[in-house]
Amino acid sequence: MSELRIRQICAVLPQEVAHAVTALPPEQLTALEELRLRRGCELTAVIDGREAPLSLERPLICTRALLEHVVNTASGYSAYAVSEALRQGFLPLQGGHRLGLCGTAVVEQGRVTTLRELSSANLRVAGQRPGCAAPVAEALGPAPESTLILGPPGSGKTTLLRDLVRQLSDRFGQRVGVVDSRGELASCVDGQPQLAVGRRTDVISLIPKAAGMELLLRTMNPQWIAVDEITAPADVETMAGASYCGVSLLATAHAYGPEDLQRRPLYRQLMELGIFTKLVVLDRNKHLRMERTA
Amino acid sequence: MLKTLGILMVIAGASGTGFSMALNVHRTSELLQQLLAALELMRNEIACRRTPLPELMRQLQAAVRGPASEFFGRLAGDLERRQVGTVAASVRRQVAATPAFPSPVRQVLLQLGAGLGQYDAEGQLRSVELAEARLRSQLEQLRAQQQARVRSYCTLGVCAGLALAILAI
Repeated sequence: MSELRIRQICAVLPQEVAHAVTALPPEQLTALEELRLRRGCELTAVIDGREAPLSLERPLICTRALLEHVVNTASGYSAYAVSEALRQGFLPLQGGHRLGLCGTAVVEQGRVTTLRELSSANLRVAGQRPGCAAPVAEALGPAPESTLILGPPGSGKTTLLRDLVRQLSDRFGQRVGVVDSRGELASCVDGQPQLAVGRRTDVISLIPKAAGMELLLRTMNPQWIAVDEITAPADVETMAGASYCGVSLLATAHAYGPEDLQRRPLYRQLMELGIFTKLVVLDRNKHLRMERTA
Repeated sequence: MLKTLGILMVIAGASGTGFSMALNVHRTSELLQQLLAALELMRNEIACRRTPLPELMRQLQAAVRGPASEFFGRLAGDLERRQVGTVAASVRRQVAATPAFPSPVRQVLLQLGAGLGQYDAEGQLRSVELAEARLRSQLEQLRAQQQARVRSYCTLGVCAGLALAILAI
């Protein structure tokens, strides 16, 4: 992990915890994926997929004050300024990292308005793999073929989508609109994408996907629209509308493969509409293969 | 000759003390006005732009003058460095480092600091409004008594000087 990324992570941590992070051996620091803070428990780090105590010398216990410190510094001491992200249970950090939060949800009129009495936090280190989408980008080129990326959780769908957006934008000079409804694709802080999504990419953040796609179509005249994780019928409807306007789509979906896709009613409906002509299937080992839709 | 000079110095010194106390009343009034202007800006920025606190404190530093400006500037520095756990801790530290703030003003700022950054925008606005109301009431009280107090401090100073001078003769 670069020195800058370590600084970005440590900036939101109390000094004692930051020292424990920087004291990790370089190979562990490079492979650091997450820091887990659960109230009343020892702080742990997820390194290469395995969770272990952060400090072996002296156990660091997660207290209420520690959680408060992390949330305060991550939100710039301004929970009101990031209430939409907080409502969704995360805070975007400089460098594209993010702080996931758990606690007691405050629900008003059936809608989560915020979280209180925080119980745990998960500091996820942003994983960028520049070039990982090269085979897909080369296969697509500037050809306007809507592509759906499938894969199980943790297979790297978002990372692949992000790099694909970047390559279409930078290598092929395409105008791409990104609807970053969960702040994971571009992870904007102060209006600036923290993760590389390309020079010709317009990002709209923290907005429901359907509304975001409509807004991009109306205002930014995109050639491509990218969205992460299709989850609602409204997303499918808007995608159909966008495809009729001549915009190509890039999207991800939780599925183990084309067969699994057909088993889920929402995705079956999506495939029946014939919007996507290409599938990129990722497996648990992050290997990809490309297929044409039937 | 020396005696006259001494008497004049006593009168001048006592009068000076009286005038300085009267000047303090003016300063407090000016400080309250500056803080009220800052809180009004804070309320608008939070309500309309959801400006994060470090940036907001910098704006307040530029918008007001005197000890209030220095206070917001130091607060902004603290928050930008992200070394404090809560805004309340930073406000406590900076209030203690600003001797120009009278005790009732300190109380209002400490209470405001305890809520800053903790709530959603509506809660935030309510705590700013409460602080504004309390400072406004202090300012009104001060204004109501200002003329009488300034006059009394000046008169007291001069009279005390004269009394000392008479005693010295």
